[in-house]
Amino acid sequence: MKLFTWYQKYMTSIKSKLIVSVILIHAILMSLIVFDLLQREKKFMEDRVLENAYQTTAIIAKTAVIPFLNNDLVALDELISSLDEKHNNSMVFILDKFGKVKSSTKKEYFNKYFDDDASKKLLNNLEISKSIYAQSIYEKSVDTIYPIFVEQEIIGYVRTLVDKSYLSNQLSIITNKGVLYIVLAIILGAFFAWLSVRKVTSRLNNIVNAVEQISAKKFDVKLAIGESEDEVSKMAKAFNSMSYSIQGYVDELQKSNEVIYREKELAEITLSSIADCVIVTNNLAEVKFINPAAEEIIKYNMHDAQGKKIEKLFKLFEEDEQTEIEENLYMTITTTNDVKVSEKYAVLENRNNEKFFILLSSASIKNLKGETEGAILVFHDVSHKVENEKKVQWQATHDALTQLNNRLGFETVLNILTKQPIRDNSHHVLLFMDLDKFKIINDTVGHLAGDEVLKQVALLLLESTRKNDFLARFGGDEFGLILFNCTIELAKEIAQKLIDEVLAYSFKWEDKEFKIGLSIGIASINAKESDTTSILSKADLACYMAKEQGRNRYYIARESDLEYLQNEHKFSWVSKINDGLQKKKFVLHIQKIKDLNGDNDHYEVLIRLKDENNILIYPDSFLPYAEKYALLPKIDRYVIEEFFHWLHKNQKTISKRIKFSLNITGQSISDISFVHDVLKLVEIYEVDCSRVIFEITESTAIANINESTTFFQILKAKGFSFSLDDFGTGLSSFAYLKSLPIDYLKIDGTFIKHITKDMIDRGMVESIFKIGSLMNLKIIAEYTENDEIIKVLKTIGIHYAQGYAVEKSHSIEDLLI
Amino acid sequence: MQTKYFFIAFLIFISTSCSDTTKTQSYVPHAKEIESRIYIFGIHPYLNSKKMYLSYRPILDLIEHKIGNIKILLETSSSYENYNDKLYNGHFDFSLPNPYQTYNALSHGYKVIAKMKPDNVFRGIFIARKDSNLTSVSQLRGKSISFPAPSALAATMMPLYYLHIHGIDIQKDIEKKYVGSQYSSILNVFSGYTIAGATWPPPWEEWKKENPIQAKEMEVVWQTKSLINNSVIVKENIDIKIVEQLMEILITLDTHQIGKTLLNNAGFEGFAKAENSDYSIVNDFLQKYNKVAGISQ
Repeated sequence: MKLFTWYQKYMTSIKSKLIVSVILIHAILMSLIVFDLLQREKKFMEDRVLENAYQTTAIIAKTAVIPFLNNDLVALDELISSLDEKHNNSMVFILDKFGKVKSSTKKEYFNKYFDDDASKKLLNNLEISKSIYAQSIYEKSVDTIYPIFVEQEIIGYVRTLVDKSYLSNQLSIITNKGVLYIVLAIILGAFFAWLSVRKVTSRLNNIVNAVEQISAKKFDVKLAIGESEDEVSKMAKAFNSMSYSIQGYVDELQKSNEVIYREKELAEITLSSIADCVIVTNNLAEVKFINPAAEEIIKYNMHDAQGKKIEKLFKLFEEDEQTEIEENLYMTITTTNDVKVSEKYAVLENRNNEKFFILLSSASIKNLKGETEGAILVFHDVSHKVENEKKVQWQATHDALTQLNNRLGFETVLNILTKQPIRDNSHHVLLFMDLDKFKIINDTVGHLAGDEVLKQVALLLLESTRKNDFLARFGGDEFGLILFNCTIELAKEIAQKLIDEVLAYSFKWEDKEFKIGLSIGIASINAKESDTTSILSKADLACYMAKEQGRNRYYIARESDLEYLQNEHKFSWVSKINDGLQKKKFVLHIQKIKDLNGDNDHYEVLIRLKDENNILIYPDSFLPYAEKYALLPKIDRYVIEEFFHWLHKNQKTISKRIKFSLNITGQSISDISFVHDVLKLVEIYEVDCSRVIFEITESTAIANINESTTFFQILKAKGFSFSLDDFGTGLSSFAYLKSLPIDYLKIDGTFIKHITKDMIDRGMVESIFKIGSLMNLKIIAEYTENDEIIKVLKTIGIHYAQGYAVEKSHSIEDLLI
Repeated sequence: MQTKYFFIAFLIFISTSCSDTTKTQSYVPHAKEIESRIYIFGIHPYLNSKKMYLSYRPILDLIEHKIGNIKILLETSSSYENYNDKLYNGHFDFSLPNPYQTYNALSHGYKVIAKMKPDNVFRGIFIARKDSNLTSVSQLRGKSISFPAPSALAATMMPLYYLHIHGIDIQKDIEKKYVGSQYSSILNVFSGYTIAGATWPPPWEEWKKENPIQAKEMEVVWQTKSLINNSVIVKENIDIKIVEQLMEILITLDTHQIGKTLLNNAGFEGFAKAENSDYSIVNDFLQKYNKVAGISQ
């Protein structure tokens, strides 16, 4: 295992692998070479030794002939001792031909005969061999025998036993040297391998270091390439170009980051600057950013809000301020793809329990893949607007004097009741009340007193009704009362009570005491009677009946009453209007609206009623009745149809540049079916909608702001234009102008009449003009009764003028002449 | 992992190749003694050792064969001094000395059993280059003459006595160069170092056979009177039976073909029976020679 871990530790790097490979190659090659050399050397040396032994023996044999013949043992001894000196461990024997040792380097052999097997074998070999000599090779010595000749005759032998252990010593020296060379070669090889590999690996390590630097986001790395063209250099080059590219990319990234940062700063500054509140969350609905406007509302600063769930920051309620919006706000945002703009107001309650009306829009933030990364919430505080709206709404539906609902408010409630599916046991009653002897007060002590009476009576009536009952002043001395969930019997009691209270009431004014009375018409609101107009008419009629029957009493409306009434009031306005509509006694008139800066004049379409004597009756006379009996939508429809018909009939004659404005009343706007009827007529008469302007009074529009908006939106889409009539008289602010898609603004005539003299009027007109112009509205001035007024209007820059100074109204048919 | 095992295997291989030398006992031959009597036969070195061996060994082989169960070692000698030492110390069992040595050996425990035939071979001769044109001994005066050795009877003493009796003062008239051997004496003449060289017939004949081309330039200019030939002597303590057998073989050698061939090969005619008294003639010559040249040796 140790070897294995050692192997793992050191053998995994290229360097060590290469070095080990070199070591192995060197070791193997050197070993083979040394081994081969040793073998050759051994062979060579052995051959040399054998040759040497042979030569030596032969020389001795040849040299020994004479001393041998002379039997000169001393000379022989000298001869062999010289050899003996040369080879320490060698033995030399000179034998006579019988094998007796005549001379030897070892004296113990003298005069003896060899009797060992090796010696016998050697001699035997010599006899058998064709060679002149014989040799036996032993481990450490070479045994050579060579005959001593005289001519061809053998006279004796020389035997040498040459020690060759020195050979193995020499061989072992050579072997050791060889091993030393192997080791040296390995060391040198390893060293040079290490050197060369180190060059490469150090360069590789440079690359590794450089890569690590890049990992550490230090992109400014450049590798020295050197002169060589090897793979590492190529790699380094490739690396350099890569790091160059990365550097370039990073630079670009930094630049774009800077741009993004600037954009972000700009965006944040923008977000901080805008009045709208902005909250940005991540995809877990945790707040990432809120702008100062939002901080102000939700009472969290950015630091505290960051990371908090958006639900924790504030509560949201419906517009009624009661119902908490329970659905997960954030989920709503993130699951919606589009920008969601709430049309309704919501109420935001901050941590200090302060409530704000807000208009909320939200959107999810998607990344490039379309995944939701967060959400953005934009809202603005519309509390003031809502308050204003409520105020205006209140004013539109209430009577400023008595603070009670006015006729419009009353009709609205009545409308709701009649539209409501009535349950079996639910039954409501309408009381139409008219004060008796009121006119006397007005006439004798003035309007102020009359007004005071009205206020006090209103209070009196209010106190005498049940909490839930709905009291309204219709105008003048007329009041209306709705008794919810009330039987006729109970209504009678209440009516009587009211009458009694009023009778008991006395009004003191400047030492004078006045008594007034009360007549009440009672009509039930039930399933059969769904028509507001008819219920009101019935109640009105019942009230009339009560007065007829002697005042200070109540009268319960009956079906027969109408018949009676129709007989009695054959020429009452209701029947006149209905008759007029039926028999088309209403005729269209027009009045020019002059373009003060050019010739784009257009006309306002007006209505006149022709009586049986063909005398024209002006709308002032019949419209209040029409309004009272809810006949205005009928009249509006009549006018529109008549005009569309006329336009269709005469479209070739009438210049296409001429536009016509038609008046639409509040009752029509509240009537959902009205819009559809108009659209139908557009189809029937193929109307070029761009030629038609609908005029709506400011107060109507604001009183029915939601319906007006819907009405405008639907017809605007068709190409109709809109004009806001009687602008300035209402209680609206300019703010409303923004929310309504109108094109023309008709300044109320009361500001125009005295414009030449009254600087306040003129100032009003000027400011209306300025603001209207800013909103790209065309401004019309009515009641332009003289040329001086026109001059002033032109000076101010008013676009259009309408009035006697421009043109008196005339029949629409005159246009065809 | 494979490289690891390979590496280990390699280390084992290295270690085994290093320890190649194992300790083993080196070979030592064994020998024993065998009892046997060997007779030594020495011949005075009138021929070089090899010639001597080739000439006489076959004769000894024949003798060994004839007698049976006898071993005779032919022992040559490097020089006359060497031979004399061995002879006078009784080293030889048998020997073939020249007449002068025979005479001396008689007083060292030897006795004569035979002599070489014929006697006239034992004389001195003078060799000279043919281009020296030697016709008269007097031409030698003042010249160098080569001799083998002062004690050589036939090749030195007898030629000097010849010059003496032919009127040359051997002490003054000539320069004597003792050159160590018979061939040396011949070669000194051939190469011109000496005007003439003294030797005796057997080496001269031998030299002529060996160097026929050179021999054509040479000639024998004078020869001395003959004396008596070499003897065969034996030590007096040798078994008489062997001595008699030996004598018989030697004398009858020229009576059969094998013997004749051997004799022919050895360069002489044969052996004749002889005894100590036959060599008193040597003593006579020596006394005459001593008067002329002073006591030799």
